Amino acid sequence: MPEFSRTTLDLLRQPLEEREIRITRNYGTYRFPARFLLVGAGNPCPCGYYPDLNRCRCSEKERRRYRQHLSGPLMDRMDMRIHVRVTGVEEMQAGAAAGPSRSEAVRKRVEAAAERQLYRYRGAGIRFNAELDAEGTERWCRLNAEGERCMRDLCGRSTVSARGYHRILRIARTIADLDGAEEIRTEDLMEAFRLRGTE
Amino acid sequence: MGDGMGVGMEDERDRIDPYALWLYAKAGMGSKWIRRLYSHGGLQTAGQLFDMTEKECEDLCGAAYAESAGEVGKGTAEKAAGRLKAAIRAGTAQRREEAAERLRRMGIRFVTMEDRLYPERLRNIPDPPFGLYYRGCLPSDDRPSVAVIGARGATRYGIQQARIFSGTLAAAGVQIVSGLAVGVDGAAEEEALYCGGASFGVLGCGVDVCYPERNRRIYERMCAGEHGSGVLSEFPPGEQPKRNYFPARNRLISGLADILLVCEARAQSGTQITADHALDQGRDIFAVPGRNIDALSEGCNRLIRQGAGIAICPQDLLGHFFGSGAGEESQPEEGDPQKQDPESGEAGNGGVELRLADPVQQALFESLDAADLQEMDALREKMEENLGRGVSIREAGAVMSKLMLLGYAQEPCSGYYCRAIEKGAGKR
Repeated sequence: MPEFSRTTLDLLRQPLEEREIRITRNYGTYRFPARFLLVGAGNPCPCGYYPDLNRCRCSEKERRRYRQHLSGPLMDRMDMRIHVRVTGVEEMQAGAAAGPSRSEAVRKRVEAAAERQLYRYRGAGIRFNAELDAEGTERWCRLNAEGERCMRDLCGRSTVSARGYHRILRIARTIADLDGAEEIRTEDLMEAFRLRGTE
Repeated sequence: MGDGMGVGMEDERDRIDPYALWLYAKAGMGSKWIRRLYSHGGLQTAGQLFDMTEKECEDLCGAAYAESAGEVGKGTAEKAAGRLKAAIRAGTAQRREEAAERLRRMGIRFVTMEDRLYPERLRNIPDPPFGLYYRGCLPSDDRPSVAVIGARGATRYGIQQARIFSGTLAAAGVQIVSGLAVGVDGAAEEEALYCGGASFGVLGCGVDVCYPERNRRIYERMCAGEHGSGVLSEFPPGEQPKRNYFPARNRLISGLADILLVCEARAQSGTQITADHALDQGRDIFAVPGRNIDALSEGCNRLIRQGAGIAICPQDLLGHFFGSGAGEESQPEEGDPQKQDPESGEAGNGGVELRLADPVQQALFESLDAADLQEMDALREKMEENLGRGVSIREAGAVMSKLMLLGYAQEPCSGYYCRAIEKGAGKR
C-alpha cells in the first residue's frame, strides 16, 4: 500500500468509514454504495528489512516519508494492523504436506459466527458486526463492568480515537461470536486490541 | 537565562570583551594564528592589538607566520596582516559595542582563552578554539565530565545503553557532553536532563542554529541552562552546519570530557574520528561491547580490542572518578533470578529481573529480551518451553497485551516485542 501516493490512498477514507462514495456536482449528489472488505499489505520501509538494522540501510527520514503515505486518519480506519512474519522454507514444505484440513474447521466456526450475527441483526437492516455505526456499536457491543475497566486501561496507555474505540468493540464482538460466547469478555477485548496493533 | 550558578558569577558570564569578539569574528584568522599572535606579541588581551601601530601589526604577523616558515608562504603572512589591519581599522568602538550587544540580545555568551571561565580542559588540547559562543552554562572544571557519543542510526540497544549510562552518570553528578545529534547523542543528552544532571551539546553550526531540528526540545532546554546545561560552538551565530565542520566540532566534544564513552558505532564512522581526537588529547576511551554479528557494534568492539576500556555498566566509569567504592556490582548468576531483590536488583543493564505472580506471564516475560526484538510466534515457542505445555497464538497474544498493560513489555515496531525500558533507567 505505501507504494501508492498519499492523495490516492486518502480517497479511501470516506468509503472505509461510511460505506459509500459521495460525488457532489452542481445539480445534485450521487451516492454509490461501497461495501467492501479491504485487505492491504505493505513493507515497513522502502527496502523492506526494517527493523533488522543489520540489513536495513534506509535512513530514518526515508522510513518516515515512506510510512507517511499511510496517513493517520487512513490507518485509524483499519480494524486490524498486524505483522506478518516471514515464512521459513520448512514451514512452507510442511504446510504443503499437511493438506487443507485446518481450513475446514475454521470455515465451520466462521459460518456459525455469521449465522449468529445474521440472527442478532434480523430486521435491523444490516447483516454483520462490521456494518454497525457508532450508535449500533454502543447498543450491540455492550460491556460489563470488568470489560469497561479493561478498555479504560487499554485505551489509557495509548491514544485511541473514538473511532478506534468502536472498532475495537466490533472486533471483540466478532471474536466472541467466533468463540460462541454471548457476552464480550476481557480476553476478547485484549485480543481485539492486539490485532488493532500500533500505528 | 536562569540556571543554578551562584549570584556573583552572573555578571562575569554576561561580560563580553568587544576586542576579543571582533578579533575572533572579523579578522578572518583561525584560532591557531590568533594564538601565535598572542604568544609572539606577548599579548594579554586583544585590546593590545588595537593599540598597535600598523607597522607593529605587520611585524607581529610576520613574526608569527615566520614561525611556520615551512607551512605557509610569505604571501600568506602579508595577506593575513592585511586582513588583520583592515579588521582593526574597521573595529571602531561603536561597531565593537554593537557586535557585543547583538550577541547579548540573542542570549549568546562569549568566552575566550583570555577569560578565567574558559574551560580548563580545552586549554590542554592540541588545537583549542580561541573563542567559544554559548547559551546557558559552560561545563564546570571542578566536576567530572563524560562525552557520550555513538551512531546516528543507532539500534534500540545503542539508545538504551546511551540512556542507562548517561542517566546513571548524570544522577551521580557527572556532566554529560555530546553533539545533540540524532540517535545516541540526543538520547544521552535527554536522559541526563531527565535525571537532573547537566548536559552540554557542542554544535557544528552557530549556537543559534538548532541542528538537527528533531532535537529542538532538548536544544531549548539546554539553551535555558536547565540543571546547569549549555549549548556551545566555536562557529559564529547564524553559521549553518556544513559537513566539514563536524570533525572539527568532534574534537571539542572529547576535549570537554575526561572520558569518552562510545555506545554504538559502525567500523568506519564519524564516531571513530572523535575517538581519534580523544587519543590525541590523552582522554580515556570506554566502549560498550556488542554482539560480534552486529554491524553497529563493530566500531565499539574494535576500540575495546585496541585497548579502550570496556563499559559493561555505569559503575565501570563511576569507579574511574570516585574510586572503587562507587558500587562494585557483582554480576548475578545466569538463570537464578531468585537471588535478586525483586525491588531493585540489576542484572547487568538488562533491566530489573522480575518474578511475576502469574506463571504464564512470567514465562512470557522471561522469553522477552531487553533489547532484541522478537516476533510473537518465536515468543510463543519460548513460552511453551518455559511452561512445558502448548500455548496457542491467541493465549500468547492475550498475555502479551497484559504485559504491555502492566508496563513490562512494549511493541516498538509493529509485530516486534521486547521488554519495556522505562525513562529514568539511570535513576535506579
